[in-house]
Amino acid sequence: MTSIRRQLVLRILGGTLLLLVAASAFLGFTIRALDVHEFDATMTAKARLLANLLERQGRYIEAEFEGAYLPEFEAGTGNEYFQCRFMDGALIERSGTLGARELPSLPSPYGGIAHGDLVLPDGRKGRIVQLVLPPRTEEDEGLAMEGDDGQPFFEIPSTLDPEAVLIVVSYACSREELDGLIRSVFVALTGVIIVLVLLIGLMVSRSLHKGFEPIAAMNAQIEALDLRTLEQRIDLANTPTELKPVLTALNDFIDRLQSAFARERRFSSDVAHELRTPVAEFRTACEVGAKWADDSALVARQFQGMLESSISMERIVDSLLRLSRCDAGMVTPQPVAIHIAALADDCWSSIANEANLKHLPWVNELDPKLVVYTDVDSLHIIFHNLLSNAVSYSLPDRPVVCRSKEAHDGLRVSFANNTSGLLPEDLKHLFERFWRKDTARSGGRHSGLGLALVESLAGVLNIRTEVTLTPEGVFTFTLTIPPLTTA
Amino acid sequence: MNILIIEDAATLRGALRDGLTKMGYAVDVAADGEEGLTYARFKAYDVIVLDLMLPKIDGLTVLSELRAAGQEAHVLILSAKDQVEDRVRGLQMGADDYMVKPFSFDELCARIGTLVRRHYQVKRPDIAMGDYTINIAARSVSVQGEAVTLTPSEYAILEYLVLNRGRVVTSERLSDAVHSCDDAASANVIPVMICTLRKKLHTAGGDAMIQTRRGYGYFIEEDSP
Repeated sequence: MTSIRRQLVLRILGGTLLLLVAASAFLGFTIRALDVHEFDATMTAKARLLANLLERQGRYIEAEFEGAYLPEFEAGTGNEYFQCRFMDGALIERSGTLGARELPSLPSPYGGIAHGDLVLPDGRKGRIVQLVLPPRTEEDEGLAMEGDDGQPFFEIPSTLDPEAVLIVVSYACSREELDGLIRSVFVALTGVIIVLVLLIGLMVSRSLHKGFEPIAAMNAQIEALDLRTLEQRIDLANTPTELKPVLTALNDFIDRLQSAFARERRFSSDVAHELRTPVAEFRTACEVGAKWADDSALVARQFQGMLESSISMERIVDSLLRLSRCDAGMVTPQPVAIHIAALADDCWSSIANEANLKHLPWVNELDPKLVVYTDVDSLHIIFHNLLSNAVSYSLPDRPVVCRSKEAHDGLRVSFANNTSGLLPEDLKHLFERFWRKDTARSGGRHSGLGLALVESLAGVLNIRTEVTLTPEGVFTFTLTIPPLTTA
Repeated sequence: MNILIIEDAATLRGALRDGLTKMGYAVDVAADGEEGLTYARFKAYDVIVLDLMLPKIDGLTVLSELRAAGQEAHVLILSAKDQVEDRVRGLQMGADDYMVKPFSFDELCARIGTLVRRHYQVKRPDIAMGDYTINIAARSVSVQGEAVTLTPSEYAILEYLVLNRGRVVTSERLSDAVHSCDDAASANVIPVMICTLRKKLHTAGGDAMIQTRRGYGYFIEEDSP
């Protein structure tokens, strides 16, 4: 399972380790370079010192190497090496430690200094510095083969230009001390890295543990939630700023969940409640009919009652099924050309008997040529439910009017009737399932699902619905059929 | 016994009327609260079967208005509302019993019988009076242990007189007890039915129990016979 804490620890430690290694490498190599540079500078200084011991006197070079002052070059006891040559390779002088051997020659320009690594004649790793420079000059007329102090003179080869005599001084010594120092630096840096990584890891782990405490607390609160405690909310007090949006969103979600469950429970309760009366009718009619089966008139009345109860239950179940299909997205519109004036007349004819009992005139002002393209079955149910509602709740002797109007957002088809008892605050409840202004379930003709079904089907057909109520009691239900579905 | 059914569901209303009438009750029906209140103000009922969700005036308002008007009828609420708080509210507002739809018709009859007994302060369903035993739960009459076959109306008259024994009952009260408002009973129906009832009881071997108080009505003595 992915753990944010573990990931953060690993990433922070990985990043820190990478940075420390890079920084240490940079530092180590810089120190190494500085050490080598310092070592080379020391070697160079010593090479210059050696060079200073060579003095040109006319056509000769005097070598003033005194073994007593340079014991490190003495054969048998010394461990450093030098040699001095002319540019043509002719040897001027070399240390006793070299014996008959020679130090390698490094490419170096005039006046330049060259450094390099080598394996010393005694087998140790060493460092060599090579200077190319003119010899120190002292005018002396004497041409003796030995100097005043008995130092040997070396004649400058005739092949060399006397005006541009250069000598090559090479000095080599062991670099074990340098390598040891560099090794110590790297070991120290490695140790520092390890200690730092461990310390940072510990610190990060503790910090994350501390930082994740609010999440653990939040988790405990969330785990305590279940369907029976949906009225509880996650406490936002002492919540870190970063978590507040999440917890606020979660609380909002719980709000919606609670509402949904309450709606679900209310809906289930409403369904059960709505079916109780027709079931009670059916059962009582059965019991009474069975109890006095020899009374044919009574039995006939019970059968008629059972039939009406069955129709009532069928109507409820049918509406619920349609709503369920709408909710599940199982209603697929099959658009066809519909003459809506004829459709409205057809729907009215199915409820004309009831309308006639209340003397409700039908005023269809729709243009007979007006055509919309949408699902005819769904639109039929919508028109029928709206007209059925209008007839049931209209005041007697008042017309039910259907008219249309072109608008920028589509064709508006309205159904208007006069009603009483409906209040403006009732309008927001009209589409609620099982809502009725009169809570009585009289006759079972209206179960409070008709307008809910209209709303759902209209949604499927992309038709907008709107209800208005004037102070005079004129209730108007308007359908806005979008342009794409109108001819 | 007079029963008023205030129920808006037409099929249920009709089935209850048919069934209870067959059981020998005088049944009036009302389709909404307003109509039910009118009936209840017009006539004294022994039991009122009351739905709660009624058009025009809801059942609880009907109940409270009945109690405010001093209506003594026992009220049985018959509702689809099954929550405890609905029952408690109904009983607290003066109902005597509460049944949830759907229900058993026999259970409803039994509960109505119980309310009738309570109305007349009779604890046992069988009332023994000399040779006679009247079981108001089974709605049966026996003389010296032998059952007597009576029509529902004859039984209703006898039951009403027995439950009001020691008191003179007028023909009008008897007529109200055995006829609903819709029945167009003539003035001499009750005397004729009393006569028939006496004959049946006499044939069964019972003593003369029902007495006539001329100009007042009919009477069964407290400790008769």
